Amino acid sequence: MTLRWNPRGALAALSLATALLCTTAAVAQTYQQSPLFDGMDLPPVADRLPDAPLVLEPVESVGTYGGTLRNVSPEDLGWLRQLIMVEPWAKWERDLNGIRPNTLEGWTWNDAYTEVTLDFREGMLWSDGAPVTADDFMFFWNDMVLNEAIPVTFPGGTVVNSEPMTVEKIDDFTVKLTFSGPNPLFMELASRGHYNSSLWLVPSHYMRQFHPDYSDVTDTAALMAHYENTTRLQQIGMPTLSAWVITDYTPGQRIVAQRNPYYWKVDSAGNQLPYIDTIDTTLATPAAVGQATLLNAIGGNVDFQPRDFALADYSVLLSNQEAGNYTVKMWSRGDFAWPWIMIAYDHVDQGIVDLFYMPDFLRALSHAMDRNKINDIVSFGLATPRQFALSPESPEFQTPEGQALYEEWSNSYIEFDPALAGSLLDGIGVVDADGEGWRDRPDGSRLQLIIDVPASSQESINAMDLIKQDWEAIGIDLILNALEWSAIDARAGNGEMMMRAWPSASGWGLLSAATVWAPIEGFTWSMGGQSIGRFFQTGGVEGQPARPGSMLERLQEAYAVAIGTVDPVERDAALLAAYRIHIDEGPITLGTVGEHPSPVVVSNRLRNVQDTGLTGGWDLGFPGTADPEQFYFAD
Amino acid sequence: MWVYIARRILALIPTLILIMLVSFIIMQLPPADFVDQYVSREAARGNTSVAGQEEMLRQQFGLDQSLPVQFVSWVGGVFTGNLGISFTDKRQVSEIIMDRLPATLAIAGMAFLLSWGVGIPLGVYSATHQYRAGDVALTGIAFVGIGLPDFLLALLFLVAAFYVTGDVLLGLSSPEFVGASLSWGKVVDFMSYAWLSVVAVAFTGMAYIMRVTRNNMLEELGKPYVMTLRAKGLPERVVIWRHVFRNAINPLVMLFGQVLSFLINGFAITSVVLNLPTVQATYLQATLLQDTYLAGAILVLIAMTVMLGNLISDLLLAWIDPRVRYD
Repeated sequence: MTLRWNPRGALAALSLATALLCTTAAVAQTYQQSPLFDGMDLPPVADRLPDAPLVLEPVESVGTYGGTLRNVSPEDLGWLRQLIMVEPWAKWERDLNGIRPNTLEGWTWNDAYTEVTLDFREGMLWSDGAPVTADDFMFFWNDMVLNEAIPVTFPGGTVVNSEPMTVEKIDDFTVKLTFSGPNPLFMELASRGHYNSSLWLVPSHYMRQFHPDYSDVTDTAALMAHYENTTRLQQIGMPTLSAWVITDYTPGQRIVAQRNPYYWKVDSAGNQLPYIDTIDTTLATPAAVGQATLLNAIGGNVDFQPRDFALADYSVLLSNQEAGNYTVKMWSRGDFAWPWIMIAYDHVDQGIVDLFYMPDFLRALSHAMDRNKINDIVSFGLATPRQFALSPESPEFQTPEGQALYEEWSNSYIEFDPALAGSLLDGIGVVDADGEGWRDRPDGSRLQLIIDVPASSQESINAMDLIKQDWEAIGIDLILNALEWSAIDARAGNGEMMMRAWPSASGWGLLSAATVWAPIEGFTWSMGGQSIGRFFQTGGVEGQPARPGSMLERLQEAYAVAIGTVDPVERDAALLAAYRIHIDEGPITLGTVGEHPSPVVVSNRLRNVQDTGLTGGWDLGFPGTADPEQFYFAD
Repeated sequence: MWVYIARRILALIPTLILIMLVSFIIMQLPPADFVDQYVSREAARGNTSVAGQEEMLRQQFGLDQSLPVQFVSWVGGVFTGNLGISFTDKRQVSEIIMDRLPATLAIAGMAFLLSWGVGIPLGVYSATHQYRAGDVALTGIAFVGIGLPDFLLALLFLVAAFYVTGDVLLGLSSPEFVGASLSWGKVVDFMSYAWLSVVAVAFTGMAYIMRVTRNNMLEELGKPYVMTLRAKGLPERVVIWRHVFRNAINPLVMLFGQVLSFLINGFAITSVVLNLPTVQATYLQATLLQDTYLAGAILVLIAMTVMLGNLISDLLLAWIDPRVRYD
């Protein structure tokens, strides 16, 4: 008998070998699920996970399943959303050094940064088991954003050169976005907080029942309640992509979330995340939340509390760590200053505006402030005296030149030197001409500065009281105008406001409220003057221009250059060049004391909580950026 | 008498509309409205995506219509039972109020019973033992009770209870009982939280009632008929309680009219500070956030209870005191 070359046999043998190989590969790729699911009527965990689940490296160690995370939140649920709802297309890295793919598997730009192709995760499922596909995003874009009857406007970053992007579905898991101009920061802009791309993936199979075009509903109230970031979390029964799904909500009292059986992340050992079963949050009114967080923390009743502690309570928190069985990790608010003083260059009194445009005037005011005293008295010594400058973690400051510039900027003009301040004012002609004790304008008329402070911010008022004493010591007459927030906004809008003390706020380069360092938008938090910002934003249609050749105009130009630069290295250089205007011709906005710490109470039983975080605002996604899905209880 | 009652009830309606008009005007006075505040609040924490959407949001809430149209549609809605929706969480106003009403009535009811139930006997005792040790002690306690705000007392109790037992007695139930159905365990848990606010509020109330009772009793005790009754040989107990007390009770009856509105609008600051899930706390938040329909509906409720309370106390007075007659 001769052995013949049998093609069919060879083919059979080959396919058998391949099948065996694949099976072993599939067997090697096993996943584990929480023991909670073992008795339940659910598909096997491998079927509930996408084909390529996201693998999270734990911060410290692979964890164990189980436990309830208790915390406290104000009843508007603001920071709870930052714990649960931060699932954007790409999430910030834990150390803020870039972004990493999250709900998207990846994305590809073309060279000109005008087209980006998004790859969704195949096999990813909503929390009710329905598949996530490109159709969900197409529903959002076509039926909600583009539909005139639905009050959803174009999200941030999707409109370039006044034209919205075009969206093209390539296949069930691929979508291509096309912009009319370079939009290199689009993915970073979409990664901010819980209100950008975290909202854009909607469960279209569920939302159709609220959409007037697909069902019998007559208005958009229910649809908007399920879409908007302030009401979405409370909609029980709505499918979600978060690690926990809300199961119980008693308004003003308590909100409970249970683990999502279809969550699409695993740890490095193949365990389906999250480790923690339940998040149990007690709600409190804004007036009671300070008491609630403090007492519950020192009583050992919270497991992870990153916000809503009053500055004055920090020492109590630190001294009760043993009694309450917790550790305080000092994250940072990353704030420019608390308060920071905005100068309104669109104030109606041109004589005052003339003074503002003279660098020596604001330098004198800056040198006259005793920042160490403010730090000790108002911030209990916890903050850092600094000039108004952006946060040091911002990408453009990560190079040696960037760090040097940041050091220079944040320390510019902050030495407490009343004599220098006085001589600077003498030099520009702001002297006491009529002998009544206050310095007057160069033309001899009365000089009186009025600064608006929000009445609700006690720290700002306390700091401004001290600053008033400092400025009066060099002969500047200052009036503190403590008003309700909306009244200040009204004054800012019609040029009546001269200066404004804004409480703790933070921002980054081009990503987060760029209008705090260049007057490019007409919002209430725009530096330089709301109408000057609006002039730039509307292309000259509304508002008033900055004075030609002034540093405000040059800041606007520098911003335009930076936002249009596609190469990241060149872009950072352009930003640094823009900031140099603040150093050389500033200070344009005055800083006092900033970089306040933000204590995070972490139960001693809780693991995988990193030591650093930025909780000044929501944009950077904390505490979601710290990956709470990999927190676990070591019991 | 029935004609009188009917006339009073009919007069409620124009008064109510007038109150609604005044409150509507006051709510429109601040330069910003709910949408401006909402955008400010979100933007302050980083969410600038809502800025520039003000017009769309105003359309959603009906705030873009002219003020007279808004007012007329609101009044029409209230009289047909549609109280509107809350702008903050888009729930029906009636649902929000009904959620909060049981806890509010429970706490306020207990505080009322405690303060009147303890205040009246103590006031009578104080009056009949004027200037003796008991009266002096009670007078001292009364001044402390009237002088100290109830929320301050509540905060003191809160911190004291925390240091003694380690429990944080904010709110009205432990987390596991929130939203649970009524059970014996839930009632016990409720009482373990409620005593804090009830005692604090009742202490102030009791002090006040005690002083009012004492003053009225003293006024009556000085009158000649008391001497006559004693001369006739009636036991002191009968003199005090059957005769003097009945005459001294008129001011208390007039005060009783305010109890109805106290039930849903008393101790507002204590509610907010102790995180009680009451109507008052919702009212304060709604007013601060300019959540017009919610604040307006609660205001209407308060106005109704004030007017009805006044009517009830007028009727009670007529019933108790034969000298009072309405035509």
